[in-house]
Amino acid sequence: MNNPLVQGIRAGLPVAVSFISSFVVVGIFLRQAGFDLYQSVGMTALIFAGPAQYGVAHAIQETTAFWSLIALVGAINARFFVMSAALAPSFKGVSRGNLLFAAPLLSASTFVVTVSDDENLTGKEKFRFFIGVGLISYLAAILATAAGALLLSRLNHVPEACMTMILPLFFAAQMGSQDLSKLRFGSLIFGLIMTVVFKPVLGPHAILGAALIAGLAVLVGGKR
Amino acid sequence: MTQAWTFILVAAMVSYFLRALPFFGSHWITQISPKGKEALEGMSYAIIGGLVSDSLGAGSLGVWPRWLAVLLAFVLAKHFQRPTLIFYSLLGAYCLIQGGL
Repeated sequence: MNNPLVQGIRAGLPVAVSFISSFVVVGIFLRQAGFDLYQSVGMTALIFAGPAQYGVAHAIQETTAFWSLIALVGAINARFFVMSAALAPSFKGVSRGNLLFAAPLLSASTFVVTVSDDENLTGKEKFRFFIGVGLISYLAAILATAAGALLLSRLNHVPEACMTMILPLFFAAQMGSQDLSKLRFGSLIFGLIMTVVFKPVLGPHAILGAALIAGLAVLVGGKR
Repeated sequence: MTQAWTFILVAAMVSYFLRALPFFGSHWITQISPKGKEALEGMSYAIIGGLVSDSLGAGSLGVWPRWLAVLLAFVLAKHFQRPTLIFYSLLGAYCLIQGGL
């Protein structure tokens, strides 16, 4: 059987390729927002979450208060808490130190690839697989941010329509290529619709609101 | 932009905390019931769905070409099992059309 780490790298290649385009755009955006190369690359290396990086850039530009920044990043990245909580049971037997060391590699894409892979892997194998997916994606994101900041900073602008569609098209293609269970497909559609419904009421917390209700619905309505 | 590094580091710490907290409590979280695990899985996928509609401009269903492109990406990826190729093809096509070719 193949090394799970190598399997993870292979499985993470499409994510890495997609990250190249999305983080090149992040690099361009950050340079245009006034960040230097080191800050742009450092932000990707330390935060590794496109939407949060846009949020931080806006917060700095608008000289947002410190606590508002924490609340903003917390709200945008709250999904990571749920995702690592969902992943944690799959990593049975892995030491806490290793888990904490690998935590920064978690993103929505690395999560999706990891959870949808072979269910028969042991906890440690699954963890190595996750590391493979995460490492290749993380490296691609850092290099792409640098490329965006270095090579393309002279572009006046990137068409907004293109930037807007990177994330949804990527997720739709990833989800479409997977054999989704009823639970996953139902939750996906629920989140898709309910975020639209909740947006006027909950604003930036609409996604989290939809996710919480989805979780409650599974807990209350599940068969077991 | 000296303030920038402070903001970046604070944002990084918040992001790390959110990612690592469930792993920190991994000893109890691995004991979670199957139903609890399903609920977390449901929440995660709902978040992904939410991220898609939020990026599309949730609250404004008038942006139907975007929804159409996403639906097309899902269906084509399901049929052809080539997510990366389909992602780039559709993104390219969408950008060209939006840019007036």
